[in-house]
Order: sequence, then structure tokens, then C-alpha cells
Amino acid sequence: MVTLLTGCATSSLFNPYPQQAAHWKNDLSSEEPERALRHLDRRTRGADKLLYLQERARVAQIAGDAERSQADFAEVIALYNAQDEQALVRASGAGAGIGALMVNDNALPYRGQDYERIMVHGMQAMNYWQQGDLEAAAVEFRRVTLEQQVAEERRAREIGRALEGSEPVAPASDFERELAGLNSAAADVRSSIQNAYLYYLAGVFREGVGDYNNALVDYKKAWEVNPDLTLLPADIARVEARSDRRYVTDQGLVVIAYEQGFIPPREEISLPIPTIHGYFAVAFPTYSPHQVGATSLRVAATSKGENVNGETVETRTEVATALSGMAARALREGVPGMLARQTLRATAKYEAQKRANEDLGLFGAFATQVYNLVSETADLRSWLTLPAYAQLARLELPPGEHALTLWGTGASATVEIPVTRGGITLVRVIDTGQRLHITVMPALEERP
Amino acid sequence: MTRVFTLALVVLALTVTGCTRVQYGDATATETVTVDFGSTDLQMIATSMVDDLMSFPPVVQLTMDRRPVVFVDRVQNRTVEHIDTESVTDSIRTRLIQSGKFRFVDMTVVDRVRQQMDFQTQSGMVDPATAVSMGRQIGAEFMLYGALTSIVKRDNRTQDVYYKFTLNMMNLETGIIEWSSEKEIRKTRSRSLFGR
Repeated sequence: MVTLLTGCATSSLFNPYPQQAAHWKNDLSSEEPERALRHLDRRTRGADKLLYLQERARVAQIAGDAERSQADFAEVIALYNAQDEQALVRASGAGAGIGALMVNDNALPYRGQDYERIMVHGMQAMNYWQQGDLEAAAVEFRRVTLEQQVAEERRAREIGRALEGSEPVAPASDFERELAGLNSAAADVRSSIQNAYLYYLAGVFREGVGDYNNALVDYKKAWEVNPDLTLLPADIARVEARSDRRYVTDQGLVVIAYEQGFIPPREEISLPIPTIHGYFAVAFPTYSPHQVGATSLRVAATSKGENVNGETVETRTEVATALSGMAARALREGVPGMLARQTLRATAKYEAQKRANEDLGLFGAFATQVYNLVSETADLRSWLTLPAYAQLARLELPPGEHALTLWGTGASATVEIPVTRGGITLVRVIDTGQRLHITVMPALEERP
Repeated sequence: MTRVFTLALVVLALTVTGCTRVQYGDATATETVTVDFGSTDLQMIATSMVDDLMSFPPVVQLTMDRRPVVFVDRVQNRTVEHIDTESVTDSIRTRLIQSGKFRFVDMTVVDRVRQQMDFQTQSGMVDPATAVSMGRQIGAEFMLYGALTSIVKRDNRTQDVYYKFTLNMMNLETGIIEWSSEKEIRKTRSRSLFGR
């Protein structure tokens, strides 16, 4: 028991993860985003390596260090791949399992969520693209598609199995009132897996390198996932025209990918349950129904050529993927399993309390009681530097240099971008609240 | 007594920690650590491509009394893994050169060659009599190019990977593909139920 309780200075067993994450999230909005990396460096070795590496990779990306971010994401991807290879029942997993039974779910090593794994590949693709390695970026975009497919098939099978069994795994309805907030947060999105934002970026990339067939598939997928995205019909029509070689233009495309804010952290609901042997706590994670809403980025482009006519084109981004909703949905889908573990744990702790009452005397019984109440904390771990909302906008501009002015939630900035005839320029804007982190990706030019 | 105890402790510590081992293995042995693209796949592809090319009747005839000059363009990586396709084409090129039937020019070192030539002709430090003369390199007659694609299927228990490597040899003058070959590889991994 002592070993289970100690040695967790850098883990989330007793120090709630969102509190740890607040440190580096604050650093990112400050003047010195690099400080966030130092917060994370010493944490990337323990059982939750995957989680902290995801955070560090994303932090490096926001801070503008694509090379470092790429190295960390590569390690994350290797860890996910290793998970696929692992035996289904593992001896080394038994220790953590016992820990989870006696302490709380935070004792289980962090294994990532489907939507996180998919985002890892998407973010990695952006790293390669930023560095001009288009072949590697293409590999990652293919991985994005593959992982969404695999996760979707697995989810379909799980639902099929649940329907066959026709018996609910655990009565989630017992906690209907407590889960109401989670349900409303999850209602924003249709799927916890399919990510319209990444499909769209893949489409932009493939259109840029001249792979029109696949670009068309990506745009159509994005539309299927998010039919509210008003950009898409024009994109689909354009790529169809391009693949039939009947697309003529003297303009260039500028796509603005806007990643707003941070995904909300999980919150804990704790309910004490009185029994004849003492109090027991039941704690589980949820998302608050009162989330920060999406705010669009205002964009204005002014041409900087010699024959300036001072014309300014304006647009606003629209939400492609609400990652906060995806996280809530993923959590809700995990509720039955969580409740099952909760029940087992309550039983184990109940037995321990009964023993303590009988054998350990008053003090021992009291200590066990305190332990049972205090140790029961919800698993609040999730990748928290992801954006809450991923948004998109598109502009068609004449070739040449343009000044792009961006107004985010708490800051504005101006950036100069190149536009080529028939080419695509992707401007990626990460808004951490007080700052806009802007990256102009190497322009993709139409091949003759 | 204490000394014996300490000694026992040291021996114990050594047996516990001293278990890292380095071994040499056969470089051509079959490697099946994961289903990812590995050394065995590389060797299988290179061998298959070279055998196929060398036994193709028109190529046999072509190389009967001369050694055509070839250059390797590139093999596109269209898989879901980061694979160094240049290493595959390097293997193929090496084997073709070793066969004595083909000669190659290397496009990847052109910049460095130019740098050296500039040094020899322009720096004034090299005896002009020994300097290589410009404009005497031999132009390639054929171009090798291709693609590596994959189809991956995965569920909780198994992972199935199918690779297809395609290589073509084009006559640069006529634009005709003189030879083309494919190598397919299929690998399946099933997850064990129990393990570490």
C-alpha cells in the first residue's frame, strides 16, 4: 500500500492532472512559451509517458519548434503502435490493475483516446509540412485516415456486441442526474472519432500537391462529418473541376486553419455513499455543460503589390471540429467501463473497511475510512493543450504578397503571406487566449 | 560476516543488472519483430527486382554486348509508414552494378560533383593538366522509377499489411517503358492473449 501511495509526485494519482496542466497552459499564453517545455521535461518518463509526451509535442508546436515537436510526436506514435502489439492480458499490467482497484483509476497507465491518437497524426503532418517534407506529411495524412477507419470499425463492433448482449454493462442510468452535463456537452458533435478539421486539412494538402482524387474524397468525408461547414460545396466543385482539367483561375487560394483555446479539462463528481460499515466515495469524471463557446477569427487581407487598389477582403472562420464536444462524447462512451471498475473498487474498499472495523480497532478503522474517502478521485487525465475548437476559412486572392490581419479572442496580429496563381497557402493560427501563434506553411503550387 | 554479506550483495547486484547482451546475427535472416516494413522486405524486394530484370529477354539481349547507362529517379512512398525508399533503390542499384550488366550515373551527388569541378577548374590550386574536363560525362539512356504502396487492415486482434512495390525502366529517348515489375508482400500479425 505504501508503494502505491508514494512515488506519485509526478503522476496524477493524487495531484489532479488539470492542475498540473494549468502550469504549462499559462506559460503558453505568456511571453515565454518555451518555459512550458521545462515544466514537462521531467514528467515524460513515468507510466503516463504517453500523455506528457503528447503535451510536450503540442507545446513545442505552439511555441514554434516544429523539429522538437516532430521528435516527440514520433515517440508518441511509437508508443501507440506498441500498444497495438501488446498482448491482450499482460503480467506487467496486473500491478497497475491492482493499484486501480485499491486506489483509483489514475493508477492505470494512460493509454490515450481515439480522438487524441487521430489528432497526433494530424499535428505531426503539420510539423512535416511546415518543414517542407511533403512526402512525410503525406504519410501522416494517410495515417489520419487509417486511424479514423480503425477506430470507427472498432466502435461499430463494440456497439454490435453490446446490442447482442442486450444487457447493459453497468446501469449508467443510476447516475443520470450527474451525467446530464456530460450528455449536453457531448451533444455538440456526432462522433467522437471522425474529425472534419483533419479531413479538410488533408484535402487542402492533397489538392496542393495535385492528388485530386484523394483530395475529393477528403473534402467529401469532411462534409459527411460536418454538413454545416459552408466552405465545402465550393471546395468539392473546385476539385472536381481540377480533376477533369477544366478549372481555370487567375487567383490563389489561402486557407486559414484556426485552433481556438484549449480543450476543457474533465471535472470530478464525488458522491459519498453511506453504508453500515462507514462512508464510501464514488467519484467519476465529467465535463461541465457550461463550456466556453466558439469564437470565430476575423480575417482581413490587403494586397501589397505595386498596383495597390487598397481593396480589402474580409472573412470569418467557422467551426469544423468541436474537440471539446468530441472529448465529452468519448468520455460518455467510456462511462459503462468506468462504472464497472468503480463497482469493483467500492467492493474492494468495502471489504477492507469491514476488516479494519473488526481487526484494527478504532484508530485503524478511522484511518481506513479516511483513506477510502480521500483515495477515491476521478481519472481527470486527458490531452489538455489540444484546441477546444478547430475552425476554417478560405480566401481567394490575386497572386502576390498580401498582408493578412487576424483578430482572435484576445489578441490580433498581421502577417505577410505569398499567394501564387492556382496555388494554396495554408496559414495556421493557434490562439492561446492572449496570443496568436501564426505559422505560414510552405505554399503548394499547382504543377504545370 | 559483514564482508561475506557485502560480497553476496555485490554478486546479487551483478547478476541482476548485468544482463544486457549484444549479439551478432545474420543480416539476411528473416526478421519478424513487427509487421512494419523491415530488412527482410527490403531484401526480398531488391532480390526479386534484380532477378526479374536480369532474366527479362529484351534486357538480356540489350546487355549482351554493351552496358547501358541508367539513373535511378525515385520511388514514391505511398504507404502509411515513413520508409526510406532510397535505401531500397540503393540495394537494387548496387546489385545491378555488381552484375556487371549496367552502369549508373547518380543524380543525388550532382551538386557536390559540380563543387569539386569548380574547385579543380576555377580555384587555381589544381594543376590544369590533371583537372577533369567539363562536359564529358555520359548521359543516361534509361531511368528507373516506381512506387511503394500499402494497404493496412487492423482490428483488436490482428493486423494485416499488404505492400506492393512497382519498378519501371523507361527509355529516355523514346519514352517507352522497356521493363516493369511488381513485388507483393503480405504480412499478418495476431496479438497474443498473454504476455509480459
